[in-house]
Amino acid sequence: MFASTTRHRRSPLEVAVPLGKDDARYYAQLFAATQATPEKGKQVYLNTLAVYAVYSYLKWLGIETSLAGSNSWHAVKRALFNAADLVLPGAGTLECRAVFPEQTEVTLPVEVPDDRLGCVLVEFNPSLDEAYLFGFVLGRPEGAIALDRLHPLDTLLDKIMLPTTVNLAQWLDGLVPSEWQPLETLLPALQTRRAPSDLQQLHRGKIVRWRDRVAVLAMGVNSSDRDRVDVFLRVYPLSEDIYLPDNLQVTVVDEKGTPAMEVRSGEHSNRVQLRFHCQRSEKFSVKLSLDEEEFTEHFTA
Amino acid sequence: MDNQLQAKIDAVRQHPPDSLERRKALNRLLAIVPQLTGIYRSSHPDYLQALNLSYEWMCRHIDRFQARSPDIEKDFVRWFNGYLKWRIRDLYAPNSQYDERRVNLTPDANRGTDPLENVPDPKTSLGWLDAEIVRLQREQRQRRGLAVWQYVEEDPQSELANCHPRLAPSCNCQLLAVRLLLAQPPGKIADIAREFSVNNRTLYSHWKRKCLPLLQDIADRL
Repeated sequence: MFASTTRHRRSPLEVAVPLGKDDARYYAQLFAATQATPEKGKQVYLNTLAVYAVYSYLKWLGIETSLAGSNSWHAVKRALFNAADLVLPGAGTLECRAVFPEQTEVTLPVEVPDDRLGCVLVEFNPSLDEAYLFGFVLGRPEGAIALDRLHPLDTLLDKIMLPTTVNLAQWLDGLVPSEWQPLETLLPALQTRRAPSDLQQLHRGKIVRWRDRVAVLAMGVNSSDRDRVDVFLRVYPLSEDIYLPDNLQVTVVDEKGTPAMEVRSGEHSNRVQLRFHCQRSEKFSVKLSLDEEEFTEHFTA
Repeated sequence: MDNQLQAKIDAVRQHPPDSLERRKALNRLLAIVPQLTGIYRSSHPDYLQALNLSYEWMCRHIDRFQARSPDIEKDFVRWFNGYLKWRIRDLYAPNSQYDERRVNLTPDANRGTDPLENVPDPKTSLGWLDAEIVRLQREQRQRRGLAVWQYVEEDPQSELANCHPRLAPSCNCQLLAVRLLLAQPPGKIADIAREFSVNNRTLYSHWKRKCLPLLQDIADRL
């Protein structure tokens, strides 16, 4: 039943979706049975499995889809068109295309419209009870799509979602997301220096975890006038460690993605910090890199 | 594998539910779960559907997983399998009925049940699918797909025939629909353009801007 251990994976980051006889394969059979010819029936069968696999995967992640609104789930439209679409309400429509193990490229059928979010590539095991989502292309490419030059599934998520942006100005009104905790809670052993009298600093922190190291990103914000927001950023080790991991790089990146300032921890740093100011509503991000792992937090001033 | 698994689980948990970052971290976790040692396998007819539901449950409840021993992989697999085996027994019970603690206290039921020797040989090509589809179609008294194709071929209101590029009346939507949608394998616009001595780009544009919307319209009505 499962050939997954012997199958040659197309990508290290593929997601395997089980296809049961009473869900995915039930629909595939139902839809294929009413087609004009066996060839058309087979096309519909495989398209249905591909669409159902992507629908399933998005359901696991809690992302809303509409099978009912998709051409692939419309009796006449799938009979007429080579339809393998999945509608994401409010976001757009995805193509879900099945390919075979020997295939090196795929071309979308001429009837696929231009306004597509992108296309998820799907492969199956020989008994068609497991689907592998292994890559993504953006938009609706016209020519052949090379199957060894695809984006990872993460790109699909980037396309349909906006990164979580923390609104720092709201912190001054007491509106702080729960994962940003008061520093006294996160770092009880830390002797917080008395805040300089000319700044009312609001210190909240969030734990950042790399593969084997942990740190606390602390942010403070102050607004002395309506249009200007002062930002104070520190990275502390968690209390058990005395020092920060060395070679930790903290970069502040502006709205356009250009690095604006940077600080790096040395061998025995017990903290690093950056101070800057921005216009109200200006967006920036803070990138924390350690070895090859990188985390980015997005903010609006 | 242990370090990796713990790191991947932590990476999910450090972001709020439904955030982009959590979902990306879930992609990494989903990619390795099938490779963990001991994930329950079965030839039970409801197994695949239960496994699908188990992934959904895992994504939603990963915050609740607690490793009880240094062997994180073993604990995680036991946690996942607990739900999976419960699900196989009842595909439709609500999740609220699942009692994690009760299931995990029973001795490891993996030993001896559903050995993989009972699993039928995997089919090695899709030839079986062709035969299966022929059989399914023969069992249908009326095939709606066939009716749709007949409608296109007959074009009773001549809607498709009357829709063509100004200078190429024979290259109408009916011909294009038959050649590009109904024909297996489908034809290519470039070939049709050459055959009828029509400009390729004109025909392509006609197909996208006139034929497809017309066909969508007809499909909505049928």
